[in-house]
Formats: sequence, structure tokens, C-alpha cells
Amino acid sequence: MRVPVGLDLLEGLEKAPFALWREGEGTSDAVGALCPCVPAELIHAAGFAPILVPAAVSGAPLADAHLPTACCALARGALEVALRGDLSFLRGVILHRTCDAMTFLGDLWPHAVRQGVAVVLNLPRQPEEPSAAAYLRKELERAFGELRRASGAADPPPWEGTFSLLDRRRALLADLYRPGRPLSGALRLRIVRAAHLLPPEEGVAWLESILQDLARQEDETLTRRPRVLLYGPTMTDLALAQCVEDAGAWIAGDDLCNGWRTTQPRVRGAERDPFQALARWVVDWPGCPAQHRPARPRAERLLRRVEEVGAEGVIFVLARFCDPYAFDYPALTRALAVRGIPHLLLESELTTPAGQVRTRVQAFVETLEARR
Amino acid sequence: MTERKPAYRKLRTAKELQRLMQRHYLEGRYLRLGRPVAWVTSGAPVEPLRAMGVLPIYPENYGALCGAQRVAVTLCQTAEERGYSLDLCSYAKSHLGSVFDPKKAPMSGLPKPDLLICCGNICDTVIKWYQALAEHYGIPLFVLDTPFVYGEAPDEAAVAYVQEQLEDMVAFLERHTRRRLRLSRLEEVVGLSREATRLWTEIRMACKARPSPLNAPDLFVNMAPIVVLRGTPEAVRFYQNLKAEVEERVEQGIGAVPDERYRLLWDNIAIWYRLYGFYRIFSEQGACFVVDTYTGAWSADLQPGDLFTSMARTYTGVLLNQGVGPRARHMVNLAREFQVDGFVMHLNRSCKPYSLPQLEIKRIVQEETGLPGLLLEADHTDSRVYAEEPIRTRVQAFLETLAARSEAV
Repeated sequence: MRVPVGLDLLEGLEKAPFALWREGEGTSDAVGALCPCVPAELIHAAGFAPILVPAAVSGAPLADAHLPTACCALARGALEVALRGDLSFLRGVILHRTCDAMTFLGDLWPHAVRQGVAVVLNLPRQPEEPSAAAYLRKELERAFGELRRASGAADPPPWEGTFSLLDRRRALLADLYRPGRPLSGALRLRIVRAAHLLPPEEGVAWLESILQDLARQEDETLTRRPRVLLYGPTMTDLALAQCVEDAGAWIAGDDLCNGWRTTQPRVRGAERDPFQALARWVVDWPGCPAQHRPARPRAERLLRRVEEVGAEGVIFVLARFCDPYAFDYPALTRALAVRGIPHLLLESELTTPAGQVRTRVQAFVETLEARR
Repeated sequence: MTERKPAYRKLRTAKELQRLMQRHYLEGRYLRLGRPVAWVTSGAPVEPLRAMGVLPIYPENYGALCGAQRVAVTLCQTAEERGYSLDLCSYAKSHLGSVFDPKKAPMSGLPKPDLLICCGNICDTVIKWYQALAEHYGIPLFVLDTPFVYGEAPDEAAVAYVQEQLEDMVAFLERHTRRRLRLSRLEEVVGLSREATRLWTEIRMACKARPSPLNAPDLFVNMAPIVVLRGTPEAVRFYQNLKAEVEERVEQGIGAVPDERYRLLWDNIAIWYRLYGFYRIFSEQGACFVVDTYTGAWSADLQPGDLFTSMARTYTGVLLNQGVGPRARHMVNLAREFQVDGFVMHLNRSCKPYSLPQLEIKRIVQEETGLPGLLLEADHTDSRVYAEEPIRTRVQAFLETLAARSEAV
């Protein structure tokens, strides 16, 4: 794979996210995941290149034949991308069980897509419970075994190299989120997406190659704008982030599955027992509200994130019909209200932001400016 | 003025059912006798709770009641005013609405809980719903996680995981209620649970008769005790009486729908606010729903022996926790066993686990049986998404298809 140097890569990937892979079709070793809650180490150590599959953003006519429209845009959009053949270069996918939509997508995928290997990681819904520990470990081992059989790899899994490579990627991405670093939030999200569309080796090399470019992109004037935090699951349409910054705000940080969460957490104890380390990583991952994690109330976590980035307002970017986030929304907004932090809710479907969204974002940014 | 043709035969046991359910709801409010009240999900293993003298109350059943009494929309709006999305499950929202504003709710809401038991085998929604309840009341919540069954049956790792959680659940109950679980009492309760399940299954199987002694509204209404009174002698007595009445109908050739012409299979939860009106469109033309996939969800049998292993296996393997393959096969088997002429699927906006795989299941069932199938979009309790005329038109067209097929034979 020949990866364009510098930030030029971003534009190409936005037009055709899988173009680099399509050049080598037939020889690809890529396995896709739909969410970073699936540890990429599992795929990489099994002998594949892990990538994160972005969902479609312009309707899902093919997926609508398999999933009702009252299913979230993330599940329908991912299925749409597969059904229109965009993922034909993949050797397979690893799906996961978190919410109802993802649970059933994992079940439907082999019926609907019929291409490559489809492994489902049946994640426990309350990973922090002691009773889940043994089950989670077995599930990781089972999924790894299936991937490994599909890859046909005979050598011992290269765990050490895998952990070090993917931790390096997380560290490079985490540097984008360094507190106070005056980088455009929209740019940050585009870089995160690009890094997860490349094989990790190329992704790390590319991230290292753009360090100087990024330094040039730093813009202190951003820090004088109203600071917002984007919060939600995977944000399918990154144009929305640009829309927020075009309206005069600065996305000082995010708490999105395809943003800051991909930088978290570092893997611990990999040298002793890789599966134990991955199980701990799953427990520590800051993600999914579909899981029951009483020890880590989501409102507290959101407030902590707000403090970390110094956000003056929060924009919830939720996918319509995404029940876990919708259920959390009242409690989260109550917690923000107690601290006097304004918020805006943008519910996205499989469409690009319309004028109405732009107007609402502008009004919200004006509110933040008026509060200064 | 011409008199409307009766399209529904009422059961004698209807009054007994009404008394039983009234008593159930009153018991939680006025006859607690020092017993702790637990709000539990419909798929939760209730036997340990009953054995420990904990009174289980079912918010989902209450959601259905709010739907049937047509107050669900008002209660949903109460929850929506507090930030809950229009698109969330209307059982959850109508119940949350009753919690936020009991004055608007039937019976002024449910008796307040001391603890919450939530089993994720029916959906992910219940976990978020119960988290909201735990936060509102500040009471302990136990979540029982049942891994999804992607294959044919729960694997051993999943069974072991659920079994360990069941043991944790008992410890949780003992800690919060200061009551002990006696295994001999648990065995008694499981015996009653099995007996009620056996009777309910036999009642449902009696509908293989032509004409069928029961129609969908009968099945939906009479499933209430198997959900909320499982493990009690009252449920066993009720189902003994209902079974006797159903057998009498079969012996005498009395059908639930006069002049049964078409036999149908129903998939998904009932449309509670139009329970009789909706099915009347069918029954007026001699179409009877002789079987469904919903009321059979409580037919799974606990096996004697190691009760905790059996509970783990049974409660993990419930139909809604299974994928397209087993569910389509289940429908195909029901269609054959009950000799149906077609099937109707309620694409229920509220219930994701039921509805998400329905397009795929419909395709498989049609391919394997050659039967006509109808998919109708609605909601189990939110009448705002029920479009009367388009539904009536589609049902009429479907019934005409059945008529044409029957003439062609």
C-alpha cells in the first residue's frame, strides 16, 4: 500500500475511504471492526490488518431491505457500506454485541453480506463485574481463535509487536488531544479516522510523518473561541464537526467512539497474559452506555471530560434510534444543568447536515459567546 | 340498523383473570405483609425471589396495561418532557411517566420498589430503563447479563457465566432483604413454575384444533399470570380452569372466531390500545390467530436437577435472545404444526429485539412455507404511530390474498 504523505491523505480518504485498499484488492489482509470497543490487537495478532469501518452517510437503500428504518444509522449505515460492495476488499469483519442494534447486526451480517469471515465478539454487558471476568477472557480467546483459523497463520501470535504497535498508535493519537493543544477538532477527527483506515504499521508511520505538518496547523486563535465538547457514539458525518467550527466555536475535545475514545486506554500487563490484558482493556475502555457500569457513572465521566478540555458547552451528536445514548441523555443534561453548562442536541440520521442544523449550531455558539 | 356480527367469544374465566390480576396489583400496595417489593423484568428468573418471599412486580406488564387503558401516550409525553426521546420504547416511557407523575397513571402507579432486578435476555432497553429507575429511587439494582445466543443454544461458557450471576443474585437478595434462600422452598416454587408453564403450553397447543378455541386477544390477555404469577399456586389454579374451558370448547367444536375460515400466525407483542378493534378486522372475515410467537416466550421449561444450571440455560435461551435462524425455524415449525394459512408480523417500533430481524425472518418463513406474510408497522403501546386506515387497507388486501388462495385450492 502506497500511502500519500502528509495531510493530503485526508482529502483523498474523504472522497474514497477505501481507495488505498481497493488498489490491492485480492491481496488485502484487512479485517474490519465497526467500533473501537473491539480491541484491534485481537485482529492484528491473528494475522490481519485491523481497520475501523465508517458507516454510510447518504442513505441506506440496500440495508433497508434487511433492517427496519427504526434501527440506528450506525448499524444500517455499516450494513449499507457492505451491501454496496465497498468492503469487498475485506477478508472479514469482527462484529460485537453491545446494544440491541449491534447485537442483531452481528446476527444478520452473515445472512445479508455473505462475504468473508464474520466473527462476533459477544461482549458482557457488565464487564466490570467479577463474574464477567472469566467469560470475557474466554470470549476474547474464542474470537481470536476464529480469526486465527481464518488467517491460516501458523507462527506464534506476534503479541509483543502487536501491543507495542497499537499502543504507539494510541499514543500518537492521544497527542492530538493534549490538553490545550490548539488544533482544530474537525481536523483531529479526520486524522483519527484516517489512522484507522490504514493498516496500523502504515497508520503509525503516517501519523509520525505528519507531526511537523500538525505543528504548523496549530492556531492559538482557536483558544479564544467558545470551547465545546462533542459527545456521542461514532459520528458518521464529520462535516458536522466542520459545521461547528465554521460557526465560530472550537471543538476543544470530544468524547466520541471515533474520536478521543480511540486513544484510550493504554494496554496493561500484556507481557504476562495477552488475553488478560485485553480483558482489562475492555473493562477500562471509556465507551459504551449499552453496558452497565455502576462504578463509573456516565454523568460523572462526562463532567470530568468537560473539565479536562475546559468546555463551555456540550454538543450531543446522537444517532437517531440509538437507545443507550438516548436513555442517558436526560441524566447527562441534568448533570450539566447543575454545573450551568449549556448543551445542544443534534440527532443525526443518514444525511449530511442541512441548513437547519447549521442554524441551530450557530445559535448555540452565539449563546456561548453571549455568556462570556 | 343492522346488528354487528359478533366476532369474539368471551371466556368464562375472564372474570377470574380480572380478579387475579387486581389482587396481584393490590397485593403490592396493601397486602405486602412486610415483604420487600422488587420490580423485575419479564424475562428475569423470578423463582428465587418468590422462594425468598420477595414480591415481584412487572413494569412491562404495567406498560401493557397503560396501553390497553389508552393512557400510555399521556405517560410517554410526561417522560418525553423530561428529555426521553420520542423513539424510545413506549413500555419504558409510559412506566417512567407513571413514576414521574403518578397522578396520571392507572392505580396511581405501581407500588414503590425496594429493589430492582433486571435481566437483559429480552432487550438492552430494560438495562437503561432500570438504570433510570435505580437513579430515580436511589435503590439497589441487580443486572443479570445473558450473552446473546448466536448459535443454536447457549454455549457452556455463557451458561457458567449466567449461573455465577444467578448465585450473585441470590447473595444480592439476601443482602438487601435479610432473607435466606432455602433450596427446598426454591424447588417448590420451581415445581409450581413448571406446572403453570406446562398448563399454559397445553392451552396454547389446544389451538391446533379446528376451529381454534382461542384467538390472539385471548392468548395475549391470558398470558398475564404466566408472566407475573409464575411460581405461585394461583397461577396453576387459574391455568387449570382455563385449560378445562379450552378443552370443553375443543370437545364441542366451539371456535374463538365464529366460522373460522383462515388460520393465522402472529409475530411480536400485541397492539394493546387496539387489542380487540385490530383483531376484529380479521375475525369479522373468519380469520383467527391460532398461534403466536409472543405468548410462547414464557413456555420454556426449567429442568429438575441442578436448578441454577437449568435456570441459567433456560433464561439465556429465551426466544428473544436468539438470532434469525432459530427464530425463523420456530415460526416455520409453528406454521406447520398449527396448519396456518398465513402470518402477520407486527413491526413494532418500540421493541428492537423483536423487530430488527423481522425482515430477514419474513423472507425465510415465506421461502420455506410458501405462505403469504404481512408486515404491519405499529407500536405496542404508543398509538401515535398507529395509522388506522393504511393498516385496515393492508389487512383487507392480505385477507383478499388468503381468500384467493383458498378458492384456488
